[in-house]
Amino acid sequence: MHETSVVRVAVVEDQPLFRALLDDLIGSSEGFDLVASASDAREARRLLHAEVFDVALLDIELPDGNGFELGRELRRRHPWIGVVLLSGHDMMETLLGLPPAERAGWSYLSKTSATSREGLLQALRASAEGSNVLDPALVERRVPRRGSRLSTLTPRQLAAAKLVAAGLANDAIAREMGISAHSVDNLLNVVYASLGVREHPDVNPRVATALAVVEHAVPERSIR
Amino acid sequence: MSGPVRDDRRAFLVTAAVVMAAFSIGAALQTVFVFRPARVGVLEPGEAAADLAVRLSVNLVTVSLALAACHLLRLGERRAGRAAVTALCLGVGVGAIRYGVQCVVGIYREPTLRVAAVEIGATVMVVVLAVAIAHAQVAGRRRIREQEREAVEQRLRAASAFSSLAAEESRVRREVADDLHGTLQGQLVLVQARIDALLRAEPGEQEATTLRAGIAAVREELDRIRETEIRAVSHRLHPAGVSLGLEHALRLLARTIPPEIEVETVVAPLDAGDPVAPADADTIVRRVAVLRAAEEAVSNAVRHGGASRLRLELDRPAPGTVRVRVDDDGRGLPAVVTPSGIRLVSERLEALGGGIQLTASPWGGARLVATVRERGASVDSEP
Repeated sequence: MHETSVVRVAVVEDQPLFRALLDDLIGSSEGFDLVASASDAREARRLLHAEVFDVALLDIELPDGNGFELGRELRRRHPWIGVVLLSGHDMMETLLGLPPAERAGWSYLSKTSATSREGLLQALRASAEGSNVLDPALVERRVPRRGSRLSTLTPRQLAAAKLVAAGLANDAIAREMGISAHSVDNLLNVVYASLGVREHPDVNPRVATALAVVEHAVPERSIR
Repeated sequence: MSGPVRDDRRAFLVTAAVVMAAFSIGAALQTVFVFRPARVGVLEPGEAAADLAVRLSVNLVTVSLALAACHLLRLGERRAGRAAVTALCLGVGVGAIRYGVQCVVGIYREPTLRVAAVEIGATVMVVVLAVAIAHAQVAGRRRIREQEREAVEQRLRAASAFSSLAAEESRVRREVADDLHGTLQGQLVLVQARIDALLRAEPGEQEATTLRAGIAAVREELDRIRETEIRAVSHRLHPAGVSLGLEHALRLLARTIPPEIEVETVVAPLDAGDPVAPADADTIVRRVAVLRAAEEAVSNAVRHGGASRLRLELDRPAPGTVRVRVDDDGRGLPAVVTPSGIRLVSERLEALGGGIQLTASPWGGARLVATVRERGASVDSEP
């Protein structure tokens, strides 16, 4: 999808104040169009049945259901849409419930991160375009598990993998890490090889890398 | 680092010295008393002794030379292949020197190529053999040290993992207590205030309908609190993710295991698209029961079993039955009774048409298998 086309967003969020915040952020942003806003799964189905939109922003914990399964339902109806899941708790593992071939275009944000305009819009646009954005703040805290392929990465390779998981394109990764785009390509190729992501030919290596970070890295413990 | 390395060097040299000295002495004795050299026509004990002394000296000087070279070249610390090649070259060099000394001293009056080759060849064999034996000795010592170090590290990891789990548990409890205290407290205070207002009204001052309306409003508020707030709080007391499904819940459980421990999670997709509607209370109870069993197994493996590897598996062995299996490589089941935590969960699962099996894991630790029926039988109903 071309960068400048308008992204049509559908919001499903049960907390009224938070939904109002999301509606406002999206409605007041150029390049984004708020197409529908629902407060539960039933209303979502009613409003979105015949609607055309590019990405759904869904709270996982809805009073009458499960935002993740609602997302899958919407995707079955409208196979081209992106889905951004929201939750107050770190529930990124939810995405591992998707079969590998279905994982493109699914993003995850914590509710805190969703209140920041830049982070929210980046996730919405990326998902609409078929990429995956995992909340950078949550990804940053994750530590590779011993014995996993992720633990075989060097610190630099791991940093690059986490930036891929956060949805950054290669040029953005290059800027972030202070290296050339060419170096990023090489670095990521090594990462893909180490993680074995090319073993499934029908899965995008970036998507597979992002989900590998979720599957094989755990949130760092902070003992308060 | 200097302690064990110094010990290893000493062990190498001593072993090599013993082997080479043994050969040296044996060879000298054999040559003098068994294979009489041609130049000694009639063997005199005196001459034999002198001959022996000369030969022994030459050999032992050679041995010292070889040992010094081994020490300088640090043969004990090199890899086996390189050490062998170096020992070979060393053997040739030392052998050549020895033959030269033998000629000078008079053991061989005329140097010949054939004899030289034999003597040097023999020296090479002895040196290589001595180095090989000494090298193996040192490698063995190093291996044992590694194993001991590994064992200590593992104990440290398990200890830190235990403290992490304990901290996590107390954090969750504290949060729930805070929640209960804060939000709920505030809302109940408001309800109380409403009731107080109703009580303060003078009889007759308020119409009966207004009073009824006031009471009805209070009742509604209490109902809302029960529905939303209490459920929200008790949701936190459920294992996380249970409302979304057993697969999610198991993955979130795996996530609480500290990263120093290897964990493999195998989750077969249970349903091709679960319903969006929230699971009913019965389903939640069943999921929680199985999950608690898994939690017990994980907790025991990490805290008491000193496990460094865990495997969690979820599948459906038969339609309508769900199974969770937890394997670990820890110390294994205690010889005594089943732990009390497991017993409670086991009883609950049996009441739900399932159960727990505790056996030894092929990994060396414990294996717990928990099963439960997904739906209660339609006829009977447990209280």
